[in-house]
Amino acid sequence: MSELGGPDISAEGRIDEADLAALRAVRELYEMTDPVPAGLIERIKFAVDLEDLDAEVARVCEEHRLVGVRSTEATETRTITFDCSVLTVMISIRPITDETVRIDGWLAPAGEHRVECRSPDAKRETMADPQGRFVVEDVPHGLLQMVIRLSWQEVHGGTPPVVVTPSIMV
Amino acid sequence: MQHVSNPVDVVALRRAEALRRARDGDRDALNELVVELTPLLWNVVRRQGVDRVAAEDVVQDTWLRLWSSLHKIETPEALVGWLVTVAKREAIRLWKAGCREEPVEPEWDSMMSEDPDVDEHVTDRIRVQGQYRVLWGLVTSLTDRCQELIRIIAFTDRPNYETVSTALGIPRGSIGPTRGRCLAKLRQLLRADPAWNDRVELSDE
Repeated sequence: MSELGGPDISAEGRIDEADLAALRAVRELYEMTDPVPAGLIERIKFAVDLEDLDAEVARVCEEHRLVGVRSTEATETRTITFDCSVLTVMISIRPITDETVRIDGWLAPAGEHRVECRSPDAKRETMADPQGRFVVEDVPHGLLQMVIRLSWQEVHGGTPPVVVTPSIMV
Repeated sequence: MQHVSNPVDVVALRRAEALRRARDGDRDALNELVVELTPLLWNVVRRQGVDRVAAEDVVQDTWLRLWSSLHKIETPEALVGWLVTVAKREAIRLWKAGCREEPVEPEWDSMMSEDPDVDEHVTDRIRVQGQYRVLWGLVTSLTDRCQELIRIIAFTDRPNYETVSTALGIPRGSIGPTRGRCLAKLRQLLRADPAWNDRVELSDE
């Protein structure tokens, strides 16, 4: 069968108006019952708003929430693990004020890698210690993405890989 | 290996052009593609039985992979097929490799059961929208394959064999007949249902 003659001529004939009406209804059905979550498109736009890098993309592997109550205030600490072929990133996110959170992180394999926490309006940078640990304070609530530049020239040589995480809400 | 399957497919050409601009650093072009194609990817991933929280990660991950591959893209015309392939692979990976600990939601269809495990807003919306309840019943009476095919082509503005074939993992050659059968069945069910016909005109001519 040739597809060159028109968009949708199949052995059974064209998709006609009745089919299109049914498909539109099916689309509306799914848009209503299972809509794309509010904010997802913004999260994605933010995540890909990076300079063009040949980066490794880490996946979210695990997420836990620990709720602790300290005196009168409730605190919730989340831990998230990101993983890719060259690096595992584990972070715990603790609310400090109404506006900010503190990130305690750990990188494996360990090394003095450069860690960038990017938010829509701010960027915080730090270096991990030789054990791969790092702390970033005053990270604003909202979208957060991490960009980690590995320092392992001594072993591997060449351009150090860059790892990016997906954007998350903190 | 992929090619523009239809020279008059201006949508594919426009997307390919947007992708070229994105590759050259035009962020607006990439954003346009994100806005336009995220609903399709969302439905591809959800159809794989991935829960809503994990599906957000999978869809975002798919776009990040596109972003990190921008400079390697040789055939921008293959964009949609590429995205759908990655999204589906990542969705399957979730429950195969078990990167996430918790099992994924078994079947979204449980939404219409007595004890739905999706958020109540969804069931509320369904309840007030009798028309969609009828349609839901009809759609779910189709075979799994038909449901999947219909869901995917409903989110493809111009049903395209490459995309559908990639999304469903069935050979291109069998898309036409399968689609024909599934659409015919859906249409037949819709026509037979008075509750549906009262509300929606299906032009017969």
